[in-house]
Amino acid sequence: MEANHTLLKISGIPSPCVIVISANDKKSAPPLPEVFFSLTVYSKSRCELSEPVNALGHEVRMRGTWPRGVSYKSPLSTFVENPQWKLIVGNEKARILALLEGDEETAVNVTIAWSAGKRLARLANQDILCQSGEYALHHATTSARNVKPSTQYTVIASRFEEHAKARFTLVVRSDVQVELMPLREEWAGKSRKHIESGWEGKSIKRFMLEVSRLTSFSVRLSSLAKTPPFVRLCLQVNDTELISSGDQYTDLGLQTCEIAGDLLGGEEYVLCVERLGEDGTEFALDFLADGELEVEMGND
Amino acid sequence: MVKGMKVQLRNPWSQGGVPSEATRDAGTFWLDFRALCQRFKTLYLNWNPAIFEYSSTKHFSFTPNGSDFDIGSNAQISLKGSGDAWILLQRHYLGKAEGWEGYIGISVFPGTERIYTYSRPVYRVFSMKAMLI
Repeated sequence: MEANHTLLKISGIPSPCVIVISANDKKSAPPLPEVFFSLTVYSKSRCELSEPVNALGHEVRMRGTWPRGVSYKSPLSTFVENPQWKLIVGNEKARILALLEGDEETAVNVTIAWSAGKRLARLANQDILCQSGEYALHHATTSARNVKPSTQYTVIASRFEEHAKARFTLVVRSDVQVELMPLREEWAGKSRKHIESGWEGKSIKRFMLEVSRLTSFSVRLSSLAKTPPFVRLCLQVNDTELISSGDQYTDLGLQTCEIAGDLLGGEEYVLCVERLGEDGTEFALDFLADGELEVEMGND
Repeated sequence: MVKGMKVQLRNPWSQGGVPSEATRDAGTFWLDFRALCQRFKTLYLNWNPAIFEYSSTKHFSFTPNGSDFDIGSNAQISLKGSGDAWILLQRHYLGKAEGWEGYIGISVFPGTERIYTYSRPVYRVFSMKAMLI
């Protein structure tokens, strides 16, 4: 019989320990063939081989692709469009490990967040259950213990850059049964509009919005300037404020500024893009709507 | 390797024809280790496993998933013992048609639980190319 072999000397066995066998062939396309081994431990004192404890015996595996143009940092089609799943934890406290693997050149991040199992458009620090940290090339991992049962979380697989389409594998392991359900992008197939504009020395820039029938929409403001300004978005009708991004101005360098709501057909809405001070000159607005949405620049 | 170490070699074919007991010492010569490494690609060493009082063997198989990172489904074995140990891993070829050009390896992690991601083993060794014995 022919064999491929390797030998390892351990000076002082860390007892107990787990020996992991690796076998891989980068030149062959998966699936790889089953491989057969014999492993012998030689020692001058008694040694015992057994099965390691399979602490995270439940596994859910998802394969997918990031479409071209989807990334963490892109101002056009951003975080919200990254693949997301609803994670359902059963009736017991869970220990969870999530592994995300992409191409070798892709910087990736995996995050589990509280969100009632809904698709996340942005990520606030207080919502993060666990996260793999800085975007890392090829693969990322994150884990959490004592994850509350009967709670729904969202798992997000994101990448840093938006170059070509890229494949990924997400593996979620747990000590109890968990379920992963893909969260479809709510705005998939809906109308999108991207407008670039500037404040032109003023602090408010206005846009007129019009729809012919009841339409749900969202608009996200991003900065095209080197120094992102503090901003605020609000939607008015007849000089009355209907929706806003909050009373405070949002630091575009740290957070996303976005509003969403429903528009009635026949009404004339005014979207005010406000900035604090003189920072930032150019900005971009990304509109998403489930119907036809007319956007016109106001005559300021 | 010790600097200046020399290795004695024998060329069994130095006299021409089939080597025999009568020509056992013919064709022997000394070579320093650096020169040996420059001239030969592979060095096979014999060793005697009987010098170890204890040994334990497991036979197993698994199907690699193609990832060096997601190793939860790789074959794993728990070891309890003390002192020094030598771990010999042999891959069995069932047929030459497999066309395997990859590597095999052993990594050792402290603890009793199965390892799911590749991170900081205390020991590891990889055989990069199939060496047939």
